[in-house]
Amino acid sequence: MAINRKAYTMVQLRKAGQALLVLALLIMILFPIFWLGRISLTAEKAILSEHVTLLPAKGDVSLEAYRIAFTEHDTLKYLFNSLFIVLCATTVSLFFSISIAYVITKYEFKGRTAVMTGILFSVTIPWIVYILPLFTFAAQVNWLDKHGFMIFLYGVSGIPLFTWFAMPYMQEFPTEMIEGAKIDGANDLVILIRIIIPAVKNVLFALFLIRFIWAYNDLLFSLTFTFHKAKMIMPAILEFGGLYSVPFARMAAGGVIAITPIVLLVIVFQKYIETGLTGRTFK
Amino acid sequence: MEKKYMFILLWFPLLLFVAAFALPLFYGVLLSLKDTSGNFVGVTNYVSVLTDQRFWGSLGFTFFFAFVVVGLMTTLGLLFGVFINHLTVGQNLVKSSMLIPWAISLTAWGLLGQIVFSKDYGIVNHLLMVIGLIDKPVVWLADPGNAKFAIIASRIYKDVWFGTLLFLVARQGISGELYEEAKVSGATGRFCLWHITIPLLRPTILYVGIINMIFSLHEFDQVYALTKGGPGFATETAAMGIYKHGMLFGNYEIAIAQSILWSIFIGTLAVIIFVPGQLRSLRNGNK
Repeated sequence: MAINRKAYTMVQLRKAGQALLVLALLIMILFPIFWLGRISLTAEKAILSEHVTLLPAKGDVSLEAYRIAFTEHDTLKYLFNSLFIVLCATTVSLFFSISIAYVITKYEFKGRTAVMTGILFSVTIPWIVYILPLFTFAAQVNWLDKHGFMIFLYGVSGIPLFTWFAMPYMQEFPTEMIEGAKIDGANDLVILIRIIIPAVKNVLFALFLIRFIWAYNDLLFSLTFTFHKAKMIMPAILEFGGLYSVPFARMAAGGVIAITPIVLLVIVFQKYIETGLTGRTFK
Repeated sequence: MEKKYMFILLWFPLLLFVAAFALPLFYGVLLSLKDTSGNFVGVTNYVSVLTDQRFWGSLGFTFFFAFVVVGLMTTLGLLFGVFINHLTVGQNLVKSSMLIPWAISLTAWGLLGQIVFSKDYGIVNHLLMVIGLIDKPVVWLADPGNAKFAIIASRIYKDVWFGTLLFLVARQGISGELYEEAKVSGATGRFCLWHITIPLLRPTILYVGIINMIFSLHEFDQVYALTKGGPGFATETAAMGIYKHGMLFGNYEIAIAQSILWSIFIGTLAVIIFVPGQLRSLRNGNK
């Protein structure tokens, strides 16, 4: 009995120790987001104090930063622009990616290796190198600050990486199903839309979420090509700080507003995102 | 496959990409050979870029940044992943919260960086003083060395969880029998890590390394939001340098010559390191 109790205590102790470790990890992972929220809810004056406390004093809690964000800036419009542009663009990216991945993995054709090389090459080339010529061109044809141009840019720029992500799933896709449909007289577009996309819809949705998150988070295109009508949320929050002061609460409120849609998406669809991220490894 | 569908499904989207990105890049090559008023000046712009210390400095920092970030994200990710795999309580809770810092934007993260690294009011200095590592506030973002450290550390802090998640999932896929057998023959935990876990995680290690490498060589967002490349040029990545020259200072020709050179450097690396292995796996997958 005595030994049993001792063993039991040991197990309990180990469990408690593990629970502490889990708590430490969770704090490490989530503290930055907590801190962003905490600063955003504090009066500017109270932040500029050398005594840093975990929570603001009762009298220092303030929604002023959010009031400014939503009244002095068109924050809702910027959020809407971002979500609308990225939603349309991601649909475009994923449809084209899956379609290219399908043709490349299931058909031998002239120039296949060249196409593949071009796609892999484009995955690695930094986006910055296209920015200046694109800007010159867009300025000449008056496409700057247009929703349509942004949808086009984010839509098409997702193609190389997501074709590469989609390829293993297409490789695994049973060729017999495609051949069967062919015998029934279906063409390749019908096969893609009626057979392949429904069969891989979970994977497709997972990749959709990842591309959505990355495009929504991007600063380079949104900063360069949108300023007013089509202005997106990431460049907008950089301006909450103002030119001559460093109002931390406003900057933090901007951060909170910008990340909220993504955090919600992650909480709701975490299982999909996890599959999408872990599905593509090297064989 | 019929020509019509080949065009719709393959060539049309590829043409869109070529029109949107490859053509502007060729257009850029033309522009880089001209001066401000459009006169042909040959390689003059390239000569001024290649003799510019600041350009080489930004390339140097980009590679330094990328190697440190990739090295640490892979190593720490692997250790965290293996460690979290051993937790019996709360494993799923940790696993699902890891996605949150990974998913939020580097722009917001950079703004948060400005707040936490503030000399007098930031929590980083406060915590370091509380645990006694420093006795007076450190200047983070206005000091070249410290700013480099801050930008690298905060990038790793945010995105180490991507690798952690991939390693955790890959580790969970390794059969427990292997470890039991090893244990029966008297192998230590460290032996198992080096001779079972790491060899079997090799594909994941490569994948995490390459993805992180590609993204860190593109680094722009966090630098722009946190330091704008400063103080001086200390934290200027290649992308930041090109953006500054081209969009902020109006040195358009210089910036475009830098863009072309930068794409040649990265493209060469890609062709040597990344493309051959991927082509091979495509061919093997089709057998």
